[in-house]
Amino acid sequence: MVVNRTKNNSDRPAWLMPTLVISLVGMVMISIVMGIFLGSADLDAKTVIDVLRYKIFGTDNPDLKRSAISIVWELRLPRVLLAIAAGGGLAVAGAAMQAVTQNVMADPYILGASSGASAAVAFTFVIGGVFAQSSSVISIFAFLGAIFALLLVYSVGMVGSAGSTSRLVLAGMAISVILTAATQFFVSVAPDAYTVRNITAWTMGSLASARWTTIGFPSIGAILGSLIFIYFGRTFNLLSQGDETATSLGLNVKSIKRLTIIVTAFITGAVVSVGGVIGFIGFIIPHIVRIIIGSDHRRTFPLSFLIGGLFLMWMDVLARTVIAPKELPVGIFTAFCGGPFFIWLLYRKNRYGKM
Amino acid sequence: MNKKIAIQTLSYSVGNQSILQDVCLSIERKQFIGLIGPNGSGKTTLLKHIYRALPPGKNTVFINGNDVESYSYRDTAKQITVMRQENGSDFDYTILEMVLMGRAPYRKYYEKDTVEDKQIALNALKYVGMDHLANRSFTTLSGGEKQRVLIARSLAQEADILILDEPTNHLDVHYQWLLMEIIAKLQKTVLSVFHELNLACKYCDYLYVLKDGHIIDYGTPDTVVTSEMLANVFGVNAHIITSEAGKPYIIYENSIIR
Repeated sequence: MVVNRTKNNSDRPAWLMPTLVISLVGMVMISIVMGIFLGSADLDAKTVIDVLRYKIFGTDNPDLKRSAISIVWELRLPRVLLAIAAGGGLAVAGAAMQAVTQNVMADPYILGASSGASAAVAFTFVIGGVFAQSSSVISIFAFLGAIFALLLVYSVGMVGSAGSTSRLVLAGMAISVILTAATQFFVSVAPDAYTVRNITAWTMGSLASARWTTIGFPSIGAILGSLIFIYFGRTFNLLSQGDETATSLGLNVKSIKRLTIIVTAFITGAVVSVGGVIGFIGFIIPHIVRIIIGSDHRRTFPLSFLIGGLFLMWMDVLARTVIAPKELPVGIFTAFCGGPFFIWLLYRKNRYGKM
Repeated sequence: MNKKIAIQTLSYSVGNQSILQDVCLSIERKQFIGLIGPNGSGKTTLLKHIYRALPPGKNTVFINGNDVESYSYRDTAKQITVMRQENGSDFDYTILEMVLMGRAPYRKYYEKDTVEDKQIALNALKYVGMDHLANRSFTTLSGGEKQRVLIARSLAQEADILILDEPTNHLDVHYQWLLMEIIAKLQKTVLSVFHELNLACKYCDYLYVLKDGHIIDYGTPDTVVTSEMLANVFGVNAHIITSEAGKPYIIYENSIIR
C-alpha cells in the first residue's frame, strides 16, 4: 500500500518553538514602542523616545512638553501594556477552556464568563457609591460574576451524557443571553446618563480607561492566571483526551477542572473589570497557535499568550486610529475578526474533517 | 498475594435505575479475563469503577490488595492502564505526543519529557510497528492504526494491569485479530470487554457473563459459552463447535424474538 505519508507529516523541527518565542518576544517589544507612537495625537518618534528616556533613565530634556509626557507615559504606555496582558490572558484562558471541554469552540466569551463579569460590573455601577469608585471592588465583582456564569454554564451544560460538549456551547449561549439581558436591565435603570454611557462602553469592550492606577490588578491577574495554566501545561494535554482517559492517565480530573474554572474566571474578571467585554480572542488565537505549533499545551499556552497579546494590542491601535480623533470600542474589531474566523473554521472542518 | 483486581459487592445506580448489583470479581496475575454481555448490561460501567472514572466507594475495588481509593490517581495509573474506543478529537497531536501522554503518571506537571520517556515511547511504538510514523499527525490515521498507537500509549504507561473497553469495535477483521494478538503477547493481567464472542473464547482464560447488572456466570470459555447461555443472555440461537485449539467456537443461526 503506497500512501503519501509526507503530505500529512506534521513533523515540526526542534528549533521552531524557541525561534518562535524569541521572535514573538521581540515583536512584543517593538509593538510596545509602535503602539505608543501610533495614536490620534501626532507624536514623532523622537518625542516618544525622549519621554521614555526621561521617565526610565531620568534624562531630562528641556524641549519636552508636559502634554507629550502625559500622552506617552500616562495614557498610551499603560494602555499598550494592558492590551498585551489582557489579550494574552484571554487567549490562554480560551485555550484552557477548549481543552477542558474538549470543544474547540469554547472561550471565556462564548461560555458566558464575560457576560457574567459585565453583568456584575453593570450592577456595581448602578448601586454606585463607593463600589463603582474603587477599581479593586469592580474587579472582585467582575470575578464573582465570571465564576457564577461559568459554574452555571457548566452545571447546565454538563448534565447528562459526558460526551455532549456542543451542549456546553449551547448552555453558554443561553446563559450569555440571560446575563446580557441583566446588563441591559441595569443600563435601563441606571440613575444618570453618565452611568449609561459607562456601562455601554463597557459592554462593547474598550481599553480607553487604562491608567497606571487601573491596570495593576487586571494585568497582574491576567499574567498570573496564564502562568498557572502554563505551569499545568501537561495536564491539559491529558484533559483534551476526555475526562475518562485523563483519569486513566493519572489525573485528578475534578480538581484540575475546578482550578481551570477559578483561574479562567480570575483572568476574565480581571480583564473585564477594566476592559469590558472583549470577545473572540480566546477563541481565535488558540486555533492559530495550534496550526503553527500543534496541540501540546506546554507550547500552546505560551505562544497563545504572546500572539494573543500582540493581537489585542494591534486591534486596540486600530480602535484608536481608524476614525481618529474619535475612538471605536476594541470589542468591535475583535468581533469583526471573530465572526469570519468562525465561518472559515466551519469551511475548514468541511474540507479537512477537523478544525 | 496474587490477586491483581478484586471487586467486592459493587453496586451502582443512577436515579432509581440499578446499573450494577452486587458484582464480585477477582483476577489473578497474568490472567486474561473477558467480560461479556449484551448492550446495556453494565460492562463499561463496571470497568469505569475499576479505573476510577466513576468513584467505586470504600472497600469495594481492590488493586494489588489495597483499596483503590487509598491510591492517588497518579499511583492508580502506574498500576492500571486503560484502552478505550478511540473517539474523534479536534485536538491534533503527533503520534509520539500521544504515546508520551502515557508517561504523565511518572512526571510532575511542569516537567519536560525526558530522554528516557522518549525512548520508552519509541520502543512502545516499535512494538506495535508504528515507530516510523512517530511524527505524523494522529488524526490522519486509520481506525486500526489509531488503536495501535493507543496500545503503545498503554505500554508506555508501564502498568501491569490492562483494561480494555471494546477496543476492537469499528475495526475490520484483520485489525481485530492483530490487536488481540499484540495484547495477548504482552503477558499482562488483562480485563477486557468483548462484543465478538469468538475472539473472547480464543483469548480469555476466564469469562464473566454480565446481564442487567448481575454477574450470572463465570468460568472457562468452554463451560460458560453454551447454546443455552447464548439464548438466555444474548437472544440468539447458535450451536457451538470446538476449534482445533480446543476452544469453543460459536456458529450463529438466528436471533430469538423476545
